[in-house]
Parts: sequence; structure tokens; C-alpha cells
Amino acid sequence: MSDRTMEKSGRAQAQIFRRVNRDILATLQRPGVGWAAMMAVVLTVLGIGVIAEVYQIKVGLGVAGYEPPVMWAVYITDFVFWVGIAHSGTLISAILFLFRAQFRTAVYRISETMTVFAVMTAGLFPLIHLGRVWYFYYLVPYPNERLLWPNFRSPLVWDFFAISTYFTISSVFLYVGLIPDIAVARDRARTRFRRRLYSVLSLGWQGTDTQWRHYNRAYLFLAGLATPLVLSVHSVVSWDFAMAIVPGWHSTIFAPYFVAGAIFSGVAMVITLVVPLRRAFGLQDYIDEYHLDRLAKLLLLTSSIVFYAYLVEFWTAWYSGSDYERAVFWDRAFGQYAWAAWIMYSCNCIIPLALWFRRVRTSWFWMFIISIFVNLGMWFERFVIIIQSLAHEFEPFQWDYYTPTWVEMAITAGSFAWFLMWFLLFIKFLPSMAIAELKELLPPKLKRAKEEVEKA
Amino acid sequence: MSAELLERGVRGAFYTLEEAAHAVDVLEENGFAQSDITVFSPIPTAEVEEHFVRPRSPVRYMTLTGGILGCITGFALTYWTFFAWPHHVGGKPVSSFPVAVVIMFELTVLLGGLFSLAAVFIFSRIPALTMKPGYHPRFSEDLFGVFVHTSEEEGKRSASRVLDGLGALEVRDEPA
Repeated sequence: MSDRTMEKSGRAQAQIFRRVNRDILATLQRPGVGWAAMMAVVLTVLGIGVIAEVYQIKVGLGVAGYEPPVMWAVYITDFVFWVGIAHSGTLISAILFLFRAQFRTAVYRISETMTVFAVMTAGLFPLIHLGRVWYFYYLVPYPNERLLWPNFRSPLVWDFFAISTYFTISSVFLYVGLIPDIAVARDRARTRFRRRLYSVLSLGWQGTDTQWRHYNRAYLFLAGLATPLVLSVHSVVSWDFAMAIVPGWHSTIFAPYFVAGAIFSGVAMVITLVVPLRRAFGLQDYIDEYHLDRLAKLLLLTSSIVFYAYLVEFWTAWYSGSDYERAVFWDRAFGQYAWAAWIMYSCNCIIPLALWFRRVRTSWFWMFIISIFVNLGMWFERFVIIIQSLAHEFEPFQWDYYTPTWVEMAITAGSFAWFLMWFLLFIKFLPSMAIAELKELLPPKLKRAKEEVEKA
Repeated sequence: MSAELLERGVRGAFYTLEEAAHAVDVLEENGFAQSDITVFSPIPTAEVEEHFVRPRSPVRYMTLTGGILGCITGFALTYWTFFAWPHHVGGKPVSSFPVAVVIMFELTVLLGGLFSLAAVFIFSRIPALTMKPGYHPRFSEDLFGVFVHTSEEEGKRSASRVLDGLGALEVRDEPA
């Protein structure tokens, strides 16, 4: 390449780099009316959730509608749902990083953020489910002077370790990834408050070769550590159920089935968040049909695994010869909770079949709609697994029908508002896309733009 | 003028990583030690790493130490609890290794990750209260910087000559 061509190419690259900075940092500008309106709705719904929780604390856990034997109900459904949502974040940021899947660059920050906020949301539910939330410290499993020592044979104790580790490592992963991008925001901050905020958060990052050398290494190790962690966390959550001898729960397929389901729901949530975000901030050049198509394929793959797991569950129930297992699965498909089960089968198995068509996979509208159905279906999956199995335990005299109360529904809605509140704050204060990595691996549209500048 | 003379060294800016990496090579050929050269980059720099014969990042030892420590802690916590507060159920053994494995695994990942974070902080020397000499805000935007640490006039002149010869740009704020 001649010196002149090289210089031209260098100038083109610098121009594109400046554009990446400008476009991504534009998301941090003063919030508009749309953002404020959305925040107002979110805070209202959160307020209703908080009122319901205060009411529950005041009156007692009885308002939660627990109906023996259904003593785990919507709160645990919500807990598993939100832990599941958290999963694709680390999948996209860690596993796809190790596999060098380039499409992750545009969406991994959003999914990592989603992970951290989803775990923060999930973590509320064991506390809400406790009733007397001020005794939460009894949950912390360490040998203590209260003579209530942890029983490490209990999967609930494993869960505590798994979830807290997952939250810590996901937060570390998110923050480490953010440091170079916060430095970009620091160098371009216009207000004093923002400059100070980003100066503190960027920790004096300057992007020297030494810093990058250690940073790249640590990021690789964090990805390596987070990868088995992703698989372990939802396995452990599944063992909360599978270790019990409740028919419908006591199955060895639960761990892979839950992990696939978690990734399935998480990818759907990424799509649900990315579609409006891209439109609201004009990020069409950064997230395009190429990314959507790959996310859709991931959704289709995990949907197929989940579909297969549903079928295997029925087959093993029949093949086991256990009357109780057979009764639970017959009841699941045709019994009192059949309506919930068929919502789950339709949303998780039937509707995603549309993703076999490329036109659907690259349609923003249809992908958004499908992602909403998948979110709904995955919430109902947890509802069915937990509530239908408990409501139809061994003996007919135990059977009952549980209906969620307004308190549970308000708290559930509040959890969505809590999650969205953090997300809305994040996109206004921190870069929601990985600036440094986007510059390194330009998305297809920017690559074309760079070539055009070079030709001009 | 392609390089800016600073009090503690000379700074040059380039459009591409290849140019910055080449400048490092040429500076070395002109007698500057690698330890006196800092490259600033707006992107993760695998290519510059290749040009420096610097020792491999010791982050891995910290990660390994954290992992091993976590694994031992998990084992110690579970086994100590098993025997300090024994649960005798149906004549089964008081301790259970498969159960301990879950806790050992989680703590391996937890401490491995936290030690990796600490390693980034320690080896990258962050949090830093003051910025290193030679930094310019455009090095987080669109340019790659090469800074030669030298306080001698002769060294500054020589470094400037080299950077000039390589077509380094003057760093200044330009409208986007």
C-alpha cells in the first residue's frame, strides 16, 4: 500500500472512530420527553409494587394467596424468571467472546447490563417470599452464633452461593468492560458533574499499552470463569426443584433444561430491549439485521432445546411407570392448569417456529413481537413447573387450586418496573454500547461507510 | 511539526495502530529503550503487544491464586460446618463431598474473578489520581499516541526527528 493510500485509509478510520464516539455518547445526552414519560410510568408501577409489599409486611404473608400445598408460588416463579433473564447476558458477553462471535460486540453491553439488573431483581424475591424480610440475614449461610448453622446439603444454600457469585462476577465483568468506555465519556463530558462522575468511575484509565495488556488478559480470564458459572447457576436453581421428590420436579433433565430455558428467555429479553433502544437513539448503523438474525438463530436453537425438554419430560413420566409422575404430566396437559401449560407450549415452542423464515428473523417488528411472546411463555413455564407440580402432589386429598392475589401481581409488575428503572438510568448515564470494541470490530454498516470514505 | 515537545518527553500521534507500532520499532532502532515508550490506543491493542518484548501479563497468576484459594475456602467452610455442627440423618455419613463440590466451585469462580479484578487494578496502576504524561483526550477517540519518556534535550530532539520522519501528526482538538 502506498503512503498516500495508507494515509487516506488512516483518515477514514479516524473519521469513523470519531463517529462511533459521537453516536454512542449521544445516548448520554439530556433525557427527552419519551424517556421522562417512560420513567414516570415505570416509577408509578414500581410505587404500586412497593405499596403491595408494605401491605404484605403489615398484614402478613397470608395476603400472598399461598394455598397449601402451593407454598411456593408467584414469588418463586418471579425469582426463577429473573435469574433466567440474567443468563443470556453472560452467555453473550463471555461464551460468545470465547467463541470469537463478532456479532456480540454490538449487543453485549446491553445484555450484561440486563444481567446485573435482572439478578438484582431476582434477589428481591427470596426476601419478599420470606414475609418477615427483616430476618433476611438468617439466609446468609455462614456458621454463626445464632445456633442456626447452614445445612450445606440444602440446594437453597447452594443457590445462595451461586446467585451471589453470579451477581458479583457479572458486575465485575460489566464494570471491567465499561472502564475504557467511561474514559471516553470522561474525555468528552460537557458538564462538571459528568466530568467528575466519569473521572471517578474511569479510575484514571488512559488506554496505554500496559493497561490494555493486563486488561485483555483479565477480561479473557473473567470470560473463562464466567462461562462455567453461567451453566452452573441455573443448574443450581433447577436443583432447588429437582432435589425434592415432588413429581414433576424430580428429574435429571432439569439442569440442562433450565439452562437452555434461561438462555432462551434472556435472548428474548435482549431483543425486547434492543429493538426500542436502537430506534430511540438512532443506532441503526450499529445494530442491524445481521445482529438481529444471529440473535434470532440463538433464540431458535434454545427454543428447540426447550421444546425437546418438554417432550422428554412427558416421555420419562410415561416410561418411569410411576403413577404419580404420570398423573402430574397428564394434569399438566389436560388438568386445572392446562390453560397455563398451553400458553407456555404455544409461546415457547410453536410461535418461535416462525424463526425458521429469514424474513421473520430480519424483521424488527416481528422479532419484537416474538420476543414478547417468549418472555410471556417463559414466565408461564416457571409458573407451570412450580405451581402445577405442587398443586398436584401425591395424594388427591393434597390437591388444590391456587390463584395469585392482587398483592402478588402488583409485586410482579413492580419487579418489571424495578428492572426497567435501572435500565433507563443506565442508558442515560453510561455508554450502552462497547465503544472501544466497536471501533476494533466495526459493524458491517460502518465498515461499508469507512470504505466509502476511503474511495472518496 | 509532527511531534509536540513536552516537559517530560515527546509525543507523536498517528491515525493507525500499524503506524504507531512501526514508530515503536523505529524508536527502538534509534536507541530508545522499550521501557521509555508508551503507546496510547483507543482500541484493545493486540498488535502493539506483539511489538513489545514485555513479560507476559502476570494477571494469570493472580487469577490462579484466587481460584485455588476459593476452592480451599469452599472445602474448608463445608467440611468444618459438617463436623462442627453434625447432622446425623438415617445413619448416613456426616460429610458429603458432592455437596462440598458445589460450594468449592462457586467460591473458585468468585475469588478467581475478584483476584483478576484486583490484578487489573494493581498491574495497570488504577485507580490513578493523576494522568500519565503524554496523554491526550483524542487518544480515547480516534488517534494512537506514542510517547517517549526523556528529559534530556538530546533525547527529545532525536525522538522528535524520528516521529517527524514517520509523519506523526500534531495533536490538537479538531472538530468531529
